[in-house]
Amino acid sequence: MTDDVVLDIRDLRTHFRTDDAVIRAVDGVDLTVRRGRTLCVVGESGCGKSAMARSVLRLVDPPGEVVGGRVLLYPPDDSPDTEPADLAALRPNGKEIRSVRGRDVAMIFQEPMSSLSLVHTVGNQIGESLRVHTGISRKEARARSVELLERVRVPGPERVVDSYPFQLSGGMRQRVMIAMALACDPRVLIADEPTTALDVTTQAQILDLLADLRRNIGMGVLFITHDMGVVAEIADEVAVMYLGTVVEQGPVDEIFHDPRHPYTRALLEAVPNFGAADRARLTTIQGSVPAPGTELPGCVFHPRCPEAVEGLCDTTTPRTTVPAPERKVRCLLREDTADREETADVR
Amino acid sequence: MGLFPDRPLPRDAAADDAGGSPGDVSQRVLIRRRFTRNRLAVFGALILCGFVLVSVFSEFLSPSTPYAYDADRTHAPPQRLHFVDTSDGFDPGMYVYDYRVERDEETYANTYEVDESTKVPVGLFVQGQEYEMWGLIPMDRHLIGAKDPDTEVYFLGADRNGRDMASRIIHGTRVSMSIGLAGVALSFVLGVVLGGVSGYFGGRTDNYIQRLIEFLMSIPTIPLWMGLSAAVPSDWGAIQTYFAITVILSLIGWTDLARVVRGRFLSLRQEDFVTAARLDGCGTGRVIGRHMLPSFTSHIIASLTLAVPFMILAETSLSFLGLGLQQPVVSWGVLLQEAQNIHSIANAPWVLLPGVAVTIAVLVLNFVGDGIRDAADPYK
Amino acid sequence: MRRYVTRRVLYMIPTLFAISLVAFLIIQLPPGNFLTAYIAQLSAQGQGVDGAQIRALEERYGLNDPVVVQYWRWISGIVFHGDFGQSFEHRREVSDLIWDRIGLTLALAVTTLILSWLIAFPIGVYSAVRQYSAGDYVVTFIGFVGLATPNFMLALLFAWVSFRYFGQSVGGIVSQEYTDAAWNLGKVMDVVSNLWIPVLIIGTAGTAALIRVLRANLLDELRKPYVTTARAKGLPEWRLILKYPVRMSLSPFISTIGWILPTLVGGEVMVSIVLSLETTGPLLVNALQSQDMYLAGSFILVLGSLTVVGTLLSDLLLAWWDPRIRHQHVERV
Repeated sequence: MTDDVVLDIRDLRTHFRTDDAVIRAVDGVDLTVRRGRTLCVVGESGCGKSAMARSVLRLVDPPGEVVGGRVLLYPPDDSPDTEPADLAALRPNGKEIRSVRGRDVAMIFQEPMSSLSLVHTVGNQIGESLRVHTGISRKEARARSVELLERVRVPGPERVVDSYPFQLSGGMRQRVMIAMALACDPRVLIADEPTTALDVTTQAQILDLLADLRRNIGMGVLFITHDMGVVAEIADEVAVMYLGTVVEQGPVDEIFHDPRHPYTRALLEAVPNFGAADRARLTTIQGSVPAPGTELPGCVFHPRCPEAVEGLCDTTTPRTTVPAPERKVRCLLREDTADREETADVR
Repeated sequence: MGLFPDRPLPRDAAADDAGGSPGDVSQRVLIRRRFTRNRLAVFGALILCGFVLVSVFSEFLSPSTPYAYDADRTHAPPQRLHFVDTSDGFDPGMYVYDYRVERDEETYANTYEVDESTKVPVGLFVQGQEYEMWGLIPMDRHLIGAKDPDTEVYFLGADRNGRDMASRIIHGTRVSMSIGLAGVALSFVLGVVLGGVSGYFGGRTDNYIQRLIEFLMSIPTIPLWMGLSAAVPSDWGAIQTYFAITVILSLIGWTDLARVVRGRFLSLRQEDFVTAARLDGCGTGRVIGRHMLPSFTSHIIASLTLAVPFMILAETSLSFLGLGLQQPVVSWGVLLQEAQNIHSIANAPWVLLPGVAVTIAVLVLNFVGDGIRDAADPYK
Repeated sequence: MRRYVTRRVLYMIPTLFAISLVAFLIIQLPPGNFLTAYIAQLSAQGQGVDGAQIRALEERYGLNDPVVVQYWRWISGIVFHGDFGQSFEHRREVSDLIWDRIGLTLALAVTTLILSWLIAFPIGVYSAVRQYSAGDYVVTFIGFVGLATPNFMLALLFAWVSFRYFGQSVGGIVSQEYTDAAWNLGKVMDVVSNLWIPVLIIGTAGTAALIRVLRANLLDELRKPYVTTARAKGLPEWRLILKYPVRMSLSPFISTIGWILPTLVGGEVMVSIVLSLETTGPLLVNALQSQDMYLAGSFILVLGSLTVVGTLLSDLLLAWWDPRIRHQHVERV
């Protein structure tokens, strides 16, 4: 089982220092990405999922900074190294992390229009990471770019390779982004809301493509989204994030059928249900995500939690418990006393 | 939007996941807070206040008047102000040393030497040259000057007619600053109206106004200004010339402001709150005045602050060439006319001091303008 | 691309027309005309002017014709015959007077432009990438001072320093021994050695402005998502900065040629007056002061037209540089 682990995030902490406060965008996150599997991180905007994804490759822009935890990248099977490398310990933008970026771990972003340079050709941008990591010639890089475009099912790759991103449609641009990420056959793909800016049909095509690629190449995918529908479609495992922490984690079916955390339930109830009676109102989660920098005592979700217990949830910080194999939840109401002591001992 | 009610528009990850709304503080407070944190801007603002005070109370602050001349003091060098006399024990009290003057009989040029044996006592709120405060109230008190009403002191030296440079620069401050402000006020009207019309209505109107702006910007301004100012009839009085020059400066100076306003309008036109106002049945004037303009007042203020120095520089350049304001009006540019002669500069480098005043004024206006502009974007 | 060029060239025509109107306006604006000024001058010298001569001159210049006719005569003379009219002060054809001067002005402006670019580019990039570093503060401050000091002030200071400490009176682009010599290597070297000071003085404000523009643009671009994308590919920091954000921020930089040219020409005029260089400046001011309007108007017309052509060149350069413009895709701001 552990052999399959390619990326192990442990107690990751990323903080943003602003003039007024320190914002704990990522505040102790544990996640494991396995080969050939998709881990979906889901949560509302502002919950720190994007900052978390960027922290893996040390791409958080200042004033954001990875301040603690480990990001362990396991070497491939054929590599002489057996010890994992800790990406969180590397110098940001240093040589070591740069050799990981785009080669071992690749990333795709939300807005293909602004995430691509509009004044460089598609081929130039796809071939670039190949040229950086393998040092092949311009001509070879172009040939490889055409192959990659073919692989992400771009029609007429020979023509597209010399065009500029503004000449392509949104879906095509996202395919170009994916081709760019696949250039060096990475072992992990981090996808930061790659379908949010796309319309529904294009979104479905891109999700299909990603699922196929993941199966064929066998890479691990860390998929960030706020859309439960997308989660249902693509995830093997799900991690639900709220205010910088993972509140619940487990296989996709179990999360959907047996959510343990009140927040997960609220998220699932908020999904429009077409089977429901016509006039049923949409359920929303009461309140909204607190302003960044707000320090909350106790459980971070208690002000919005329908099940919050006064005197417990607003005073005691919940611990992560393991209610079933492969599952983790972080809620005081799901902790029984024994559990609490047990985890306390572990710490 | 039912799923996640407050989902903001996609922005970059830092702002999306961490930055975002800085609480419930009002925009105005945020702008002020950011401005005061910018030390250079605050420093600039303080100096700028100084300039404004000097322009308002020029008559009182000058040790003399700008027109009082003394043939025995042509190109007299600056006198250093001493606060305590230590030559003979400790004797507090402000004074300057008198000059020993020698006249070259051939060239009539005076040479000056500091005469340490004669002290000219200096005091505050002394009686001196008579003047009319703001052209209304007859007065003869000066903030600082020689205690003896019949003696003059020259803290910044004298010009070729023996007039006090300090008094002239102080009076020049009033004219130069006010022409900058008046010019900008006029550009403001032109820029906001034309830029607003251009940005709000778009389409063909926008196209015409843009062509006009491009055209105005493509002409080398200095030759154009020179040409237009040269066309100002030479028999016009000082006030008429003053207004003519102001109009000429702003006729060309409004383009930048118009571009800023237009850009803002174009981007605001798409905003939901503007559509909402329009759907609520607000008239065009109300949409512009009540909903759009207030949302970028600070940008306008910043652009205005940054436009004043250009006006001042333009006035100075024109007057320096003798094409702008004319004697007896005293502006920094008019004062610098004396510096056109290399021998004047060589003999009396202090005739360049009005240029230093220009540089400082333009510098602090730039600091303040940049400060406001940076502070105006608290969400950036 | 061809369509873009054609459209740009066509856009130029109304602008040129407008400039000619302004130049003509400047010729017409002062009360009277050069004849009345001429007559006044002659009378002041005690010479009588007989009516027949005046009428002959009026006839010749068509001064009693409607303004439109006068404009047409003036502009058609320029366009079809290169005839800019008579300089009343110099009693010579304007076209004999202006071309040498304009050539030098243009040489100064272009040299200054290139130099400003060479200085501003590395400094601007450094200052943006190392925002808030000591170097950035120093550069920003010097830039501010450079912007705030009027060109002619710098020229005056320079004149004073060289007079005071080197005992030299400045002035002239061509040294005396070469004044009448034909152009040869020696003369070129001489011009270059005399040119660099004015170039530096004229260039300060422009360079400072360019640094600020580049720094501001680059700061905006550095935070764009495509920079993160490039970083995620594993590119070394400097390589990606030069390839992506710098490349993007240069687009507005290139289009600044359009507005910096008028500034340079204006600055050149001022500086030349102070340093008495044989360029447009002193002659233009003289012409304006003595209301030698055909000469002044011609200068303004030619300088304005040259700037418009400069702007056109910068737009074409921009189209070559930025594929979005080349492919007619213009993002709305």
